[in-house]
Amino acid sequence: MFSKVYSAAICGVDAVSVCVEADISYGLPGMTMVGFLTAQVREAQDRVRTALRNAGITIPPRKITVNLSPADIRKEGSRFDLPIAAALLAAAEIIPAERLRDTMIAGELSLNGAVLPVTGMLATALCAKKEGLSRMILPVENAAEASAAGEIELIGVHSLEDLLAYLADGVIPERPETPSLHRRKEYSVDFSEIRGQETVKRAALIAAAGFHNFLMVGTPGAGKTMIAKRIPTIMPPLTKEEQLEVARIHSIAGRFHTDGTVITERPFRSPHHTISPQALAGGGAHPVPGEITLAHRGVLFLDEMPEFSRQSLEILRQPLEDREIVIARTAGTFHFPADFLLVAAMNPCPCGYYPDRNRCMCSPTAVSRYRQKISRPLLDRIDLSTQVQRVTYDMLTGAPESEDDSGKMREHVIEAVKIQKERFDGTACTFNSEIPSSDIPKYCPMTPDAEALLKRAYLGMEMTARSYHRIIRVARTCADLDGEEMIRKKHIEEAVFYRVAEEHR
Amino acid sequence: MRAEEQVKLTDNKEEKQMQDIHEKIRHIREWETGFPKRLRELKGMPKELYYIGTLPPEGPAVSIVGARSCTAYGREKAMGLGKYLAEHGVTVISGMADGIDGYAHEGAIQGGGKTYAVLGCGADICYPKRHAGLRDAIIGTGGGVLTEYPGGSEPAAWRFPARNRIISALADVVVVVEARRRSGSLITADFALEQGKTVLAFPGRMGDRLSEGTNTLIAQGAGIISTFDSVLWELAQCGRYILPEKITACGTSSDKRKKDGSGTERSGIEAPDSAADGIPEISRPENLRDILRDQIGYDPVSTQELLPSAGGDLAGLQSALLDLVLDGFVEELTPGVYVKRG
Repeated sequence: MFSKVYSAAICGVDAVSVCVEADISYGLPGMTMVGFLTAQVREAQDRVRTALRNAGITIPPRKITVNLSPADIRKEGSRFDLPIAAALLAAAEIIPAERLRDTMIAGELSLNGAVLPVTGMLATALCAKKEGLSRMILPVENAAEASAAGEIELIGVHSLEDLLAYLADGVIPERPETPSLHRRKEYSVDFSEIRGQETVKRAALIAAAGFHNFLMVGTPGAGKTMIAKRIPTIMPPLTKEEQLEVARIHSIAGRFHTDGTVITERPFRSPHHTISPQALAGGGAHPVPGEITLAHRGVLFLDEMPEFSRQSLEILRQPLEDREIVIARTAGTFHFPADFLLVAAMNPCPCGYYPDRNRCMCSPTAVSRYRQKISRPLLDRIDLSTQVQRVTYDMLTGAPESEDDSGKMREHVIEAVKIQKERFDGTACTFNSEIPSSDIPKYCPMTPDAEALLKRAYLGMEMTARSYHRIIRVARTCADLDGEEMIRKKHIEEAVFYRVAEEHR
Repeated sequence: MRAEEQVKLTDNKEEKQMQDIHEKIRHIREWETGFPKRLRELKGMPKELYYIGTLPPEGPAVSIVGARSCTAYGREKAMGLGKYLAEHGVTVISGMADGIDGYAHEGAIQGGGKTYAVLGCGADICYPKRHAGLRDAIIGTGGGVLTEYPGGSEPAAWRFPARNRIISALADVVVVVEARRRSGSLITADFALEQGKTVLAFPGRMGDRLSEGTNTLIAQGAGIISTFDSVLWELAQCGRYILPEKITACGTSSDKRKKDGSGTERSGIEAPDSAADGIPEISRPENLRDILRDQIGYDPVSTQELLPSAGGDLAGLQSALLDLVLDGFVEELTPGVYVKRG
């Protein structure tokens, strides 16, 4: 008897529907699995057979053929255990085959018949929705995550018994409460925890408001990581579409909250500097998303930036321009979203104490060699830089100087983002950092004294045209934060203050 | 056959490039005219020199040496003195190393003088590499690089202390700008004393690592540089220089001090007084600018440290700092870290 059921394979950051077919016929007893399967999927036959036996179900000793179609999509992972089991049950006429219609199934099986969670369930649910399926049978632990897709009946099962009870008798297993995806998830960190560092906080605010990539330079232990971690907390909240986008990526990467809901706030990724280029960009023969994709819509923090391999760093250039990364392999070309805010931190010199010459013994050559590890083209994509200094004892113990917490700062950012949205309505830009240099005169009107100061700074600081444009873009954001239409002198002053220096001595 | 020919051709090309560099190197022996007299007079000096450009002339010469990893103070003083000496017709000798050496050469070039670098490697090798531009400027402005090592000699560590004896020998006065306790610059000072040259040092504060060496030199009897004039005065003492009338003793003539301010706190070589007087103050209380100018010294100071002086007004502070930077009184060393200029 032949039966089939729907499941889905993960392909990059998407799920593609797969049809699991099973056939039991006369012939030599045995099980054959076909359909471009990896070893993990092939192992399913042993897991499924043992789990079924341990659940008290006997599959007749006949020739069993399982096919996963379409055969040109590579199937990976343990997510096909449950659909194969269901297809076998139907093929063996233990359950009525029509029960499996319009149903997507995914999940791993344990030998004792328990159903184990798998990754990418949100993408799978979205795929089911797209295919017009009405129901989804899935591990109960994944139910919360998949519920984000909405408009689909979710049957969370604990074990094969649950599955059998549902498919044979229509007993719906007890449904655990699923927390809503769109509730406001509060961040566990807040800017109010940072003492002093007024300049850095302000720079972070500008970075978040205009989506300007941001570089912090400072001695070890000055709090660069602390600040970077708090930047997502002041970025504007994600829209529903963006949330779903982020959730889907993290669902495939298997990153969840403790309550099983998938991550929907702006992500913060901080890969270690030993990361390989493939892990950063995404890679593999059948590419999986890398850190930059996991940081999509959030912050990619590169601590100790000069310590990253040159190759890893240079990979960032294209995604910083295009907001996505294209990975071409023989298996196909994959587009992974990678719209992240780059926040980088570095020491001023190898020992970290330059320019305090009582502590720093690095030779000027060593200092410049260290800085040159970050290439000019990459530095050109960073709009803001600031120094982070170790806080003094008084700052740590004294009363906080400003009462800015993340909430207040975010309100500020939201206002500025709103202005930008209106300004760039109908154009390719969303943020000030994306203003093409040709449109700068149009979007960035300046008062005469601001223009005069900019000219003076341009000449006095030996700027390049590129850094001149960057300063105007940042000044535009400063003006937006003040709610001003014209860029004033103070905005230019601020932008020059936070500029990325051309060359350090 | 053809492949072989090609190989030969490329070989020739490389050889030719090598030759181009080598051709510029000139070679001179002790008995030939043009060989620096000062080296002939001393023991233990090389019998032959390799050089590109010219060789130091007979006139007054001062060697400026110091730490490679120097402070902003050292940089300003080395550059300032180099420029000052060049303007007064004194040749500046140094070692083209990172830090003080390089700044001394740079200053001399700015002052329109000739300057000479004594290298610890072949004259065709630029060490450190980042000084390639400086090297071209030294040669291009009529000075030169010279060494006792033939072309192609690698910059080995042992060659540097040895070249220091030539640096001191070529000068009448040796000035140490900044040096740590155990520093190559002190080796140069030792050579200078052995060779009977005068050693001068810039004083520093007790406790500053980079002043330990120079302060020790002063304690041991080296001359102290209170103004740049001190160096000229010392040259005059050796009979190598005729002092202009204004400079009387130790370069401390009162009218001199008033005029170019090289002895006073605020202005120096880098920031001409005209700039200080001619800058119109715009919209900002003048006193913040003044307060900052007092607060920013040769010790790097960060925005965070300056913030209390501005009464916590970050925007005002940024504005005043930018003004000071653009006026050339203050330099931004790394983002948000400032030192005095001049």
